[in-house]
Amino acid sequence: MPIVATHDLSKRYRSLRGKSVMAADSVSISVEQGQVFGFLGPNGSGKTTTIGMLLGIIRPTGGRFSLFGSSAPKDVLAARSCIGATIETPNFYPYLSGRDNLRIAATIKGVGHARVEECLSLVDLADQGHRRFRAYSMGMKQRLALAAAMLNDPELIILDEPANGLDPQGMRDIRRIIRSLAARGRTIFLSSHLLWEVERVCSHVAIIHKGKILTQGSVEEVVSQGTRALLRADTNDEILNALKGYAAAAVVRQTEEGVIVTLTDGDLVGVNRFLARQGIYLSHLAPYRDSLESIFMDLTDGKPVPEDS
Amino acid sequence: MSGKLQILFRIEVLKTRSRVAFWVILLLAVALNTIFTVISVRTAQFPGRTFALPDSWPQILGFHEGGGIFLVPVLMILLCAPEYTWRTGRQMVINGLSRDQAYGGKVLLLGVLTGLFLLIPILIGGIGALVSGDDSGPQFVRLADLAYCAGLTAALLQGGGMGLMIATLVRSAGPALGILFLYMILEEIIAVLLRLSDTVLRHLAEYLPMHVSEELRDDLAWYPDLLESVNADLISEGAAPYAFRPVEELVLIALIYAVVFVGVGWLSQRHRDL
Repeated sequence: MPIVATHDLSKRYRSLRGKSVMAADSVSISVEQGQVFGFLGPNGSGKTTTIGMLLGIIRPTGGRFSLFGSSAPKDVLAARSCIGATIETPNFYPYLSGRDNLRIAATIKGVGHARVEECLSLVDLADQGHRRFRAYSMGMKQRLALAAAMLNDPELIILDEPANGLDPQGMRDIRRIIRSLAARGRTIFLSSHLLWEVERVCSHVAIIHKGKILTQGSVEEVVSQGTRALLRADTNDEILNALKGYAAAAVVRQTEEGVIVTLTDGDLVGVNRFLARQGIYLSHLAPYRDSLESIFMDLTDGKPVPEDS
Repeated sequence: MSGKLQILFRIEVLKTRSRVAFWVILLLAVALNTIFTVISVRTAQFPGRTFALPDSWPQILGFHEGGGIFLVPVLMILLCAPEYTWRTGRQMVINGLSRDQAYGGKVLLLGVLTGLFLLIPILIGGIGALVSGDDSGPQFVRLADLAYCAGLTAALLQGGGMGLMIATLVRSAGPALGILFLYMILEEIIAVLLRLSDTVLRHLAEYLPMHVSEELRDDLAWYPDLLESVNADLISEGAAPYAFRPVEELVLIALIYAVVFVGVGWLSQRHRDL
């Protein structure tokens, strides 16, 4: 039974002038128990809208979703008590202390004040709990949001861009907390546009762009989609030009290492033969395991992406 | 109080007790009532003047007649609208409240503020009248005083309900306050225009929210003896006497307005994205 499942979930925003924007377009994803699920997409791709619909703050205009196996409104409301979530920027009362903000969340979740202190300690804010939220740095605000999400020790934790505004140390702390939660069997739904962050902590990913899900699966499955080959010759520009005429080359991009080509037919010998016929003799030809970032760029741009670095 | 209601109440108390806006407006109400009471006690020293219960209740409760009533809608806007700009209202839903429960907390707040702002003049003015040394009547409170309080409660709920509705629709404190004050001015203009009409529209002016509230808060509408005495003076001066609709009708209209305002806010909370 998936913990989170969406089926053609859609959200269309209409402006007063009658224009409409499809913020989420038939989004279908499935998150199983215990997964650390990365929800990847550029800014404005529909990540927050999708999460907002799951959390009941945005009304879907189409499709349906289920939480913990049920899609009935009453069950979904009950299921939300097993979720800890933070969406976009941390949302707290600026005039209240971090501790009082957590107490409000704890009252709603039916959690005692002792747990508030525990969670403050978990995110290293125990000494700062008395300070007003408005006086917190961005990193402290993010950590407080994480503490609020963990208050009721939820089965499912949804974090929307948790590393926003964090310094490297803060990001390391967030990763540490996410890993410890995952080690305890919690399901984590992590939305981010920071690809390396997702690749480091997630077991599964879905990539969303312009409201549509482009791919999803385990990180390994997504990264090994299609056969990629790293090619090198005397001048890589020649390879780039030649591959424009090769039908099986879906995506071609130049990197520091050489030219990386995604082959729809998976035939490495075939591409070598083709280039040799063009008078280009390769000094290096090997299967290439891509990074999530490259896959993401390929999918979201849909064209060869020259990489500067 | 049921469990969920208790939770909503505790949350609203925790949030409200730390808001500077709440304390500023509360202190303003207390200060105005204290000044008013001190003046009344001092004036009662002059011959022929008294400040005693129960005769002075209309004067004490006149705080709301004189504009004190507008503190409740202003406070409702200041306490409710920022929930949208700070996005704390949506976080409450994310944390596990339903949209209805989150809105229910605001309705609860409306009830508490109504009670509080009704109590302020009663307590300060009542204590002032008791310590003034004037002879009190055989009872502290008459039925008419309680009825006046009920009327003021309806007027406070109507005003506060309007504040809650505007806060929920506009979702930002500054513009919401602007719209509230703009409406108050506009209603005056609309009422004048309606009264100029020869048709049935002329009577509509009497049913506009501010007009209903104004009539409801007028002590003359609640104390027939007082009205009779004032009207006798007016007639002797050749002026037209005051006339009021039955207070039951005014209370009913005010409560209907309160329910409509709270209902519109609830529909907005239910159907709009947070």
